[in-house]
Amino acid sequence: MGRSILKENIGMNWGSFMGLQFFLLFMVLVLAGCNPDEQDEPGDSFDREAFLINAADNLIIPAYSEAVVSAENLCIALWDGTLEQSRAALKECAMKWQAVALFDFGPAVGRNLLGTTNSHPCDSLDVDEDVMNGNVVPGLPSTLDRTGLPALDYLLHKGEWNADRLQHATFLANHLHDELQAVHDSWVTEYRDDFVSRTDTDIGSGLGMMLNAFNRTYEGNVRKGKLGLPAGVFSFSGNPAPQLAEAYHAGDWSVDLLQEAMLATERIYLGGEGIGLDDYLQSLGDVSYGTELDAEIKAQIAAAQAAVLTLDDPLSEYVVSNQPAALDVYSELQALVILLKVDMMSALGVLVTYQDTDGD
Amino acid sequence: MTRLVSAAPLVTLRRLFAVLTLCSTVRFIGYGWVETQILQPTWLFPFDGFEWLPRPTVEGAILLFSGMLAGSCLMFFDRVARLGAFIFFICFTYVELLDKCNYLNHYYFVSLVAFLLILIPARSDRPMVPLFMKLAFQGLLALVYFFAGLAKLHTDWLIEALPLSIWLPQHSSLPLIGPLLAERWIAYAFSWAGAAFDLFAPFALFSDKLRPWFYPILVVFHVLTWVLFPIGIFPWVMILSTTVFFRDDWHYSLWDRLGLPLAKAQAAPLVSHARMGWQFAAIAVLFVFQVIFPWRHLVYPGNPFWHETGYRFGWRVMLMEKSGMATFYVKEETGVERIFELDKILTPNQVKMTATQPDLLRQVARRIAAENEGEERVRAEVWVSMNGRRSQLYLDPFEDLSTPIASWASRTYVLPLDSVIRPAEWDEMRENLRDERGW
Repeated sequence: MGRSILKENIGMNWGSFMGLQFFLLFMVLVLAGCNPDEQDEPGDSFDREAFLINAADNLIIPAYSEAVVSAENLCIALWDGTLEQSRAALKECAMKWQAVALFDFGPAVGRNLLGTTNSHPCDSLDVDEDVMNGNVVPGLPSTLDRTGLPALDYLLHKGEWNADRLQHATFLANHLHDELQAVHDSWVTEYRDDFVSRTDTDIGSGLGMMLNAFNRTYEGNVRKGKLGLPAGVFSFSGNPAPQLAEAYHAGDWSVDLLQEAMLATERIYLGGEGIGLDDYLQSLGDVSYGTELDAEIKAQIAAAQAAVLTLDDPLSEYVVSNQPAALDVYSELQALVILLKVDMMSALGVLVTYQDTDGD
Repeated sequence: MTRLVSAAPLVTLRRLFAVLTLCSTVRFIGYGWVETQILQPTWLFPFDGFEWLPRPTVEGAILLFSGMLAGSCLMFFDRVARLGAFIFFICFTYVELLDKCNYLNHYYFVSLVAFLLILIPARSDRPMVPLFMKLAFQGLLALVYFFAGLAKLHTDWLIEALPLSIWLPQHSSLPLIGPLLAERWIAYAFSWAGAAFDLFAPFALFSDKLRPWFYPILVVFHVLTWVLFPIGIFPWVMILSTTVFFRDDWHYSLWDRLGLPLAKAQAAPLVSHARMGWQFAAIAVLFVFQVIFPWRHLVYPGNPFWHETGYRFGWRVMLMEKSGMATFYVKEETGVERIFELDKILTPNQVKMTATQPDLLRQVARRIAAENEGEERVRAEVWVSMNGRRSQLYLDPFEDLSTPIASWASRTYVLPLDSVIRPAEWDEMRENLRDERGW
């Protein structure tokens, strides 16, 4: 009943007409298929599992191990070393922290590792109070700015070094160590295998989590936290904010931390000695978003590292006396953000979102 | 047009649609998207002309989503189907209008189908409907495919096989087809076949001869897109709703087998011409609109994928890999310029969506200016990469984005795609340009 002769005819006419068109398109398609661009790499797919295994075993777990050892050494130095030895151990621990910070996903997010161990600047009045009362509970949202590395930086470098301070510093160092140890243990016992098995590229994949964390930490903690904030890029007045320099109280190794963070950034990009993001981009072939982008990112990492070398400690003084120069260095760090966050993420097609939604 | 045909295909469509919208609403709630997309965001970016829509509170959201669930259920049953479609349409469309960042073509399609189901009675106890009612659904589906196909006829898609060259190799670890997906020629094959499929679909679906072999291809095509891309329920919407093209017998036997037999078309009750008149007029107007509206990008110079004027509501589905990053600067009355940090205000999805869509970037700037209530000007340095191109400056970096401009106005503040300014060049020219533009 619902069929009409008219429609039958239309169907046939369109059918034969479109059949021809489709045949032509199909032929073009076959020709396109038989004639791939000679310059392209033969469909050499990138081994994401190998990439994740290299990241876990040669970058992430060693970074946590070294951070745990450095925190242990800090505890030991506080226990039976001189103040100088403790300061050196604190610096070493802060340096090792830089590599860990770029892996802010999985167990680290679960424990809010970055927040609990390094929310700077610390509130020195609160820390003084804690030295007196000694009943601070680390790891709470309200106590982030009175624990971790910044509080230790203050305790070990400002004010009169005494038994109360030593006791409180030991307490904070132990907590720092325990947090790093806990995340390290999670990685070693269970998370590592889970991570390397997530070979997809969606939001919950190993690559997706790792790259999102990498970009977020580089952008927020390295570019902004270590230089942008003290240099006044984000301040209302545009004036430098020297007290926001990392390791402000120690004074003479703020730039060292930034350098270390840049080295860690480079190490992740190159995958250490193994398969890294550079190999991933190269596997995309001789296209603008492949080898060309890889070369540009490497050049920009080098430019940013060279720029960072021009900074001098104490950074808190440098940003005041040389603010324009500090802003130039910031531009180099910012240029790398664009390459990593826009160009690289778009080339890899990994969702640059930190949220699960449908697309179209 | 007013000739009577069997209502069976429409009954099938309505029932399948009801099941789909129910599942889709449950899925949306289950994924926690009510919180992350509607309740949690500090700012929402409504569609033009809908800024007045009150933002739902928790109770309001519960009401809206209960409405969608209830409407979907009612849609399944004959007597209350149009009421259900009405409730669903209102609640669903309300939510869609709240924030452009959540726009998806298939949400728009769902709204349109729900709207048609308000107008069109598709009851299992009334065996006949005028032909134009069936054509309304078939025509809409045909337009969706056809426009999706037309949108693929451009150089990035056909000559460069982008963005599929970027997307497909990501799935090289899939079983069976995985290794193939890493091959470059496969991206070309998929691009061309995809365009041909979309353009050909309307004709094949209308033809009784071609449909039997085309429909399996359609199923394979949509399932493949479902496997490869994060496009939610869209493939299932298309697979199920295209059954409206099937012959009547298929529909009768389907519902016989499912134990919900339809009244067979025998003595057809006459449809009142007065009622048909306004329905015909409404559907005709809607259809003419649907035919014309997706072409509106032609009015604007430049690459529509780049400036995105007239981009939405045009069935441009999964056509580009575009990512960006925007830094907003507020110029105070005092002359000091500071960065306005968005990450803490926008949700991650909003950060992503606003960075590549000019009208959204302007809406963000207006919100920033409104927050500050002063004489501030707001500018943005935006870097965007599209379809494998390297990142380039997207908007005029010294345009005051806080001045209101209709989103359909020509977007002269979007730098042309071929005027490539890379970060290094921008560093060189920034301060000179700042003086020149009096910023």
